Amino acid sequence: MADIEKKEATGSGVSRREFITGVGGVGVGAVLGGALLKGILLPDEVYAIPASEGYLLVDTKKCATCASCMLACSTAHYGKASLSLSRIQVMNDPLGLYPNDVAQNQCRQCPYPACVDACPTGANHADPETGVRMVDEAKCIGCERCVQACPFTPSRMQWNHEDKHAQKCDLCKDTPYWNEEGGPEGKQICMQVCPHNAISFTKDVPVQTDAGYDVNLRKDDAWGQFGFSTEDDGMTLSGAQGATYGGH
Amino acid sequence: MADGYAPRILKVDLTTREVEALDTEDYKDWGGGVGMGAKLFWDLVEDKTLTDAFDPRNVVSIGGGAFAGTPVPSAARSAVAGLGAFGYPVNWFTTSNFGGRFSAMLKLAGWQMVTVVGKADSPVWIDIRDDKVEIRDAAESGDGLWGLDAHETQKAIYEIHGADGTWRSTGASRDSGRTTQHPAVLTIGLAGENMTRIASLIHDGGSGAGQGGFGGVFGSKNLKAISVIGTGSIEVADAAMVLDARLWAADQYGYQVDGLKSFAISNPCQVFSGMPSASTGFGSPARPEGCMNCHKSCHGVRAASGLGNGSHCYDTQIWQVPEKTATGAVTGETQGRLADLMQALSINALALDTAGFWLGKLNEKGLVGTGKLVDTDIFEKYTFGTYEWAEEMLHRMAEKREVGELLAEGPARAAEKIGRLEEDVKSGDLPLQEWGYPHHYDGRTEVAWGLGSLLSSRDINAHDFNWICMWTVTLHTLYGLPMPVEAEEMANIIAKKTPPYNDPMIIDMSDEGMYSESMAKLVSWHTAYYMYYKNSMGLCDWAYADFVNPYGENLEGLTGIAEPKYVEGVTGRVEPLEDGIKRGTRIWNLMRALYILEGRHRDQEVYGDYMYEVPSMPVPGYMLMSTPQCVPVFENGEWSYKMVAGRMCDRQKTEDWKSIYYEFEGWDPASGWPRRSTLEGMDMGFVADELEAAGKLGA
Amino acid sequence: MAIEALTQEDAQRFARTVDSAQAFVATIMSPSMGARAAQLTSVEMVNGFLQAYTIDDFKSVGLRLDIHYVDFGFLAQWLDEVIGDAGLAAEIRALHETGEAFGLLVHKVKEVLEERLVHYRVALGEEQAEEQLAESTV
Repeated sequence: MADIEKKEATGSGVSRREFITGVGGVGVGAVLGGALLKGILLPDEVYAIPASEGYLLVDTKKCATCASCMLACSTAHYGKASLSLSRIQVMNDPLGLYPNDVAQNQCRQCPYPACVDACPTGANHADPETGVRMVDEAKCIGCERCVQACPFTPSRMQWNHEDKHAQKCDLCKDTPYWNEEGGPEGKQICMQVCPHNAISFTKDVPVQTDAGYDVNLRKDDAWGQFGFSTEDDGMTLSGAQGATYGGH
Repeated sequence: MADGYAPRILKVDLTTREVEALDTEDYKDWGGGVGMGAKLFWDLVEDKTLTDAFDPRNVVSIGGGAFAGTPVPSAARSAVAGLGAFGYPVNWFTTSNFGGRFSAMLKLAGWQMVTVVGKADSPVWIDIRDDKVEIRDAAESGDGLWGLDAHETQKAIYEIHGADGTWRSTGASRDSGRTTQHPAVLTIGLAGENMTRIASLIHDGGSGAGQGGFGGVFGSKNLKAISVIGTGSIEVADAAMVLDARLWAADQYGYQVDGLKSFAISNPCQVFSGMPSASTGFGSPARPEGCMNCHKSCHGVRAASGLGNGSHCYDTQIWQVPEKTATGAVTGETQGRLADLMQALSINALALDTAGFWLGKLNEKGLVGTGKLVDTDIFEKYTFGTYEWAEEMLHRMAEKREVGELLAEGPARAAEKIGRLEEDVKSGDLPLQEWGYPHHYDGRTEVAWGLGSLLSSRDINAHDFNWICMWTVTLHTLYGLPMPVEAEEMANIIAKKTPPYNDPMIIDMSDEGMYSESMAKLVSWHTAYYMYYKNSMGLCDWAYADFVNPYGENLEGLTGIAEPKYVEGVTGRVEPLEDGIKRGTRIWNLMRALYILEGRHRDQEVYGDYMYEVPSMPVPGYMLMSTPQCVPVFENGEWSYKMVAGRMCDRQKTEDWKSIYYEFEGWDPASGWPRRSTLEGMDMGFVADELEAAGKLGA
Repeated sequence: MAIEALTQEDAQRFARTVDSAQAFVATIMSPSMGARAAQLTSVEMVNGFLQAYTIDDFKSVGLRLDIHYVDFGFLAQWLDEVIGDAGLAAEIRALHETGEAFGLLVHKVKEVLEERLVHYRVALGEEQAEEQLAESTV
């Protein structure tokens, strides 16, 4: 059963939007449990999962596939460096062609977190204060329903085969091996360590499409000076971009 | 305590097809990579007079250091060590190096190194999946890899693994380990299968161990590829310290994409703070590509197919002059496609470079053509300098067909075979600076590079002083731009960062300085630094050593501060830089002992004749590597930057310097052999014993 | 440089391609591979080889440039001894003797070479004199 928060309906005069964004100071990400909304009149009890207060955005046209994010993620959370234990998975075909050779698969902190809904023990839950979808490892029974439930491929819920529990991105809320505050109000190690700022953070719920999470992060820094495309398609070169033969 | 190392070393005996796990603990003192490779060679090769790289008794070791696969920035280089087929006149013990993902993936599989002995009786490849190791049939009868080019081989292995970017398990149960990654593969193409001496080892699109001739060594063992997928983890001594060190280094000294600082000319003058570049795209849209845990990303992945994807550096530059001469222009199309083809065939870029250069000269002399001294139709059928000429030459070399059969032996042996070696090396038509290696950086001007190479077994390809003392100074001089630091300040900064000597005079490359004891210190320090920190622990030559840095306080780079942080965070060892230098010196002495058992004597440590005969400046009538190099010099009591082009090495003074150097290292100047006291002082009495038994201990 | 009374014969000689034994040797300096000698066998080729980079090109920090280096003192010597165009040689030598940095001189050298190449073409009847002179002063 999802870790949910029962809220009393506030009665008339509250718009759905206000309800969704402002009830009890916590943004509501979803309405579950079969409760039906009819306009702004809500039933007495609403089962709701708060929205996450933070989301990772990536730019696969900027990513250098150095795996720094992956090694840092696992090190910060577990004190050991590993690609398999990283909660962000970056894959590329080493013989592929730009721009279709890279996937940066970050957890999307879904407004409707199927992984949270699927968890029978509440191990996978939305943090009450920040809405971050994260795993309380002590409660995980290893059923892997969360892994199955993630609608994305590869699943953003992962089975930690060394420590035997489910894991997922927690926006670095719980990083025993990193001396920084994490969570939506703090820092995320993947973003800090990425050499090119190919990972960024937002508090706004992204548009719930691939394009909502894989965005253009190449416009507001020196990227264009290096000769790379700053256009959304990553292919259009202008001015000095791509003008020189070099190879080095 | 966790120390960043994987617990085991994989030993594969291809003759018996047996695999064995050695204990990494027995080799940790040697750092990793080259250091471990040298010690493994020492332990596993009984008859160390062996000098045939193609002999099945040759032992080849591949792997990285303590840093690979951890957040330490630019630290996942992989080293290759063993007898190299290219070296002339002797296949000395030598090393090579490549970037990418291999050493990290190997450690994640639980193996620090993989060491290969013997020879398989039919083509095989080694499939490592965590602790499961299989020697598989690479022939048509099996996985059909033999005969494929280096890229096709990797694709085939990806398919065998089912690597498609989704989670897959490496075993039967969910706790066996899972990964989304493609296996890291090291492979050869046709040039390696055919046992040419000019073949490289290729990894991913364009990472390669080019120098040394190890591609042919793989071929001689019937070894097509080593593939590794690792789903484990690497434990370090202090994870928080390692993360802090990574962020500190990258944030304080690395390039900041949202706050760039640079010298007037940034490339290649900036080392740790260097930037990615779309120049790697050859004009095609591209993204940068970085090796494992690197903060820089030197390589590139292009949109256009066959344009040297993943290739970078030397491989993408070598055909410029011939193409320009033949067609009037240098095109990314040609350079990129050739890089791709070289990787596919696994040919060392220098082989094409030198073949073109030397044959071009012989052709002008009328010595090349059907029925002539170099009996070939390649100049008749193809226009020299065009892509087509180079493409055909690469195929002929890989296949040992027609003129390729001669050139597949490497330039020195090829020249010797047709009786042109002495004359062409003397004139510089065949600029083999040392050990049959084509001239890379000029020992007449950039002294330390030449001398370091001469005392070693190959072109050192270690840019520590090259970036800052030569490139930075030369480029800013040529363009009339302000130096990042003046010569005296450079000398002081470098002195500070080069313990235990801390001698500013080490970068005095004046006519006097080049033969001085300070130069001996420089070569000694440089060799130790790169042998340990780079070749063994895994730091990258394009990020370290970092002496002068636009982001650093007082423009000082992070060398001297960073390395001890990394060592402590990863291994738990408190190791100031001078102690790391001692480790490097130890590795160097072990390698030296191997050379000596292979027959090395100071009398052989002589440059190609042109170094003593021909000035390093373009003079009409001379055709040679012209190098307008500007370097720091201390003359008339003061420091300055000076163009030293036009210099030659003085034969006698070089010989005298060698004596100074040998003495400095604690070696007998009469022979260049280490003394027992020197070796015992480094806990290497076992090496002294073996040298003594061979009658080759320094007096 | 004022156009001399360049005969067609002179122009033919000066504009020729020499054989490689008499080539002028220049350098391509590349951070990735060190230095490579380049054989330049005509005045046209020398001009084509030289690149007029500016400080802005270097400031474009992403561009990893190769440097095409020519020693202008030796160039002057080659123009005298091999090509035979003493006037051109003198102009280049004068520039070299200013002692200015290579990168600053290269623009001026190119201007001189380009102008002279036009002279050759005019003398060879390949171009209309006024048109080309106008263009060469742009």
